[in-house]
Amino acid sequence: MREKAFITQEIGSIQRPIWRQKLDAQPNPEWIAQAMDWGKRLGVDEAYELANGNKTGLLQKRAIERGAEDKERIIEIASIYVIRMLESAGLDRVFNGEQPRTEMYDFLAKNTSGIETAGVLNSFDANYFRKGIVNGKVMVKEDGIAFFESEYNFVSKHTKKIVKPCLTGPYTMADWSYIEHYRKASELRGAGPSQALKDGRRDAIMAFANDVLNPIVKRLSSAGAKVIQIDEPAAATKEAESEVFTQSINASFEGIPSGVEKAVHLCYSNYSSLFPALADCKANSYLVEFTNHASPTNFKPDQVSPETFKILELFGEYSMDVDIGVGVIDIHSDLIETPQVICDRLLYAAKLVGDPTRVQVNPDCGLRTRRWVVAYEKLRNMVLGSEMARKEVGD
Amino acid sequence: MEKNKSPKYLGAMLAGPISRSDKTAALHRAFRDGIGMMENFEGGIARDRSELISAQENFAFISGGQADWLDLLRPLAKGLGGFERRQSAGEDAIGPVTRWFRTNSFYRKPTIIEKLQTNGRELANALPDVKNGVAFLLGPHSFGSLVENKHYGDRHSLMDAYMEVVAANMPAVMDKGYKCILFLEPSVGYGMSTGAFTKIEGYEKLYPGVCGKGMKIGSHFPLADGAKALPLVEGTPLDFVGIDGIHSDFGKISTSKDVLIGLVDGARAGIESGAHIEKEAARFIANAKFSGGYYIGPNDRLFDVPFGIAIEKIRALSQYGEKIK
Repeated sequence: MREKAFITQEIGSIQRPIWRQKLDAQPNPEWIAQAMDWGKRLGVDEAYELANGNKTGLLQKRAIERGAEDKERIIEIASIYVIRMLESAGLDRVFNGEQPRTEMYDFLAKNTSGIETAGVLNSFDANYFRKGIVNGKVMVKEDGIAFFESEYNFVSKHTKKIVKPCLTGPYTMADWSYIEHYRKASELRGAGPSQALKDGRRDAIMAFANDVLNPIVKRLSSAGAKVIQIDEPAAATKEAESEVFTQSINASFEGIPSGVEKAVHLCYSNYSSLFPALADCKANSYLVEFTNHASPTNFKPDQVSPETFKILELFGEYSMDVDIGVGVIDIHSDLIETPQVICDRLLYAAKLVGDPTRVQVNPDCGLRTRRWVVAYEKLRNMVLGSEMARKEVGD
Repeated sequence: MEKNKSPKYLGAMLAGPISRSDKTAALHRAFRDGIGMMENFEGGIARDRSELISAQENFAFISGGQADWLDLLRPLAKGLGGFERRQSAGEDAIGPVTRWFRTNSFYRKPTIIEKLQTNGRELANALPDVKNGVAFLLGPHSFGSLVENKHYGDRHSLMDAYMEVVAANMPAVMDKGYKCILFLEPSVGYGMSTGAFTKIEGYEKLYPGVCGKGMKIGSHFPLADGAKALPLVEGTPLDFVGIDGIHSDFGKISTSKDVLIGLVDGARAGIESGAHIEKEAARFIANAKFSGGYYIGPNDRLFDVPFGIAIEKIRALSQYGEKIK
């Protein structure tokens, strides 16, 4: 499982290019130029399908002429662009930047029966998410399972790198939904409002794990995935639920062979509160946000949230033989971290972990909020910084 | 304290900012993506506000929703002196994106690097024109928990400094037509950094000169058991206290003050029926010890339910008021 020290990877999302977002828009010369520029820069063979001298490209067609197959192909090509971008930046593990998906919560919710959309809520700044109401028992749709399998197969076909699919986790899915069905079920059993909320949350989290995540994870494993990442940005938001969080991760990965790396992504939370329950978690690696509160140009341990880095010590205290993905890229800032500061952060983390081969490298979270030019530079420097760190430790 | 014998309904009120409509969210995103105008987005905010104000019939105080604030710290971080401006662009200059407790929404965590300074108008400038208005501000405990403090030596001096700034802003806020300030203390309910606090300080700075006449001041504790939270403000000159009716043990509530009872669940999509609100209000009156005066409202901000649902919940509260009348 441990190929080398400081394995590099993205977390999941990369911004969808405007030409991928606006599939029903009329041809836009600016968007086409943008697609061609990046296509050339990244060496995307399929770029000619988007625009060409014969003016038969998918982005050159009038909106009315662009059929469902054309739109699907645009989305596929957007995925190839991201694969090439991550390869070009030099990452060891790649995926598709979630180009075929809408948003991390919304997409899985749409592929799960028992959920209806309630409306949008603000996440931060001008970012919003759709929140669903769970009105019935949650169960992933067969089409949903097939989508994730085919998405994995598509990426595998287009790269020689290790493919790391990512999925929104059961705790986050439940936490970001109104779990009406499960609360009501508890109320019907006689629980008061407070108890019904607790019971409802537990039941919903485990239902998402058993009946939504696990079938997808099993299919991905059967398809050949060697690393599967479950994203849990909501983890640690309720201290009292750290046990059910751990159980839900274990249930999601239930039945997966030991050769498959079971990865969990955590971000923007008080990670310490997950302990000691997390010690019983069967995941092999944790990819964690560390840089959000830090300076992009200077690294000093006292400038980084000590609370954040404390998780590294906790993994040691509980003797957890796991890999740690250190978030070295602030995904909320356009400022580009220097290779040196990334190297320093990694060496600091390696010292705390005690073994550089147990340290992986990643951004704090998905880079979907950053323009491609910024995301690419950040990832490039992340790879350069990792190479520097590797030299330092003689790997 | 004797259990209340003659309850007096004082009206309904909101307990924090509310969400934006789907349409306004779309206008906001369009503006961010450079394919929409700022004016259109502001128009959406104004339309939401107008609908919100209309829904607050029979309310004791009217809220403009404060949906344009994004988070309760941002206007302060942008307007007051003493906050660091990060070497970055746009909203990112305010501070890092930080999770708002256990929700899927975030705020920008500002850093205090110097003494807080005010011109006395920052809050009034950030609030809409609302008659008989209620403004929502972070309470001193939550303010102290949510900012990064690199200037004040301890939490007590930070809370004092914050409340001095708030007090200096009150004349302009009152001039604007505001009749109530509700200080929100989510950090108590979320169990964050409660430390060894036995009392939340700073409220005395608002009395008697600033708010003693014609302005009601309350402190609300969403997601906390009121029985545990209310002692933190019992000795203060506050006019009323707010409790989360979903997470509180009514039988253990004991306060000399009027109470805002949060009976509508800000984390639930289902709309509470009139019968439910009436039953829960009656249960509070029968079990809690309090002054007798009571308001009703949501248990928390209605920021975590979509705008349409928030409006329906507000109408349910309004109907209770109509019935009591």
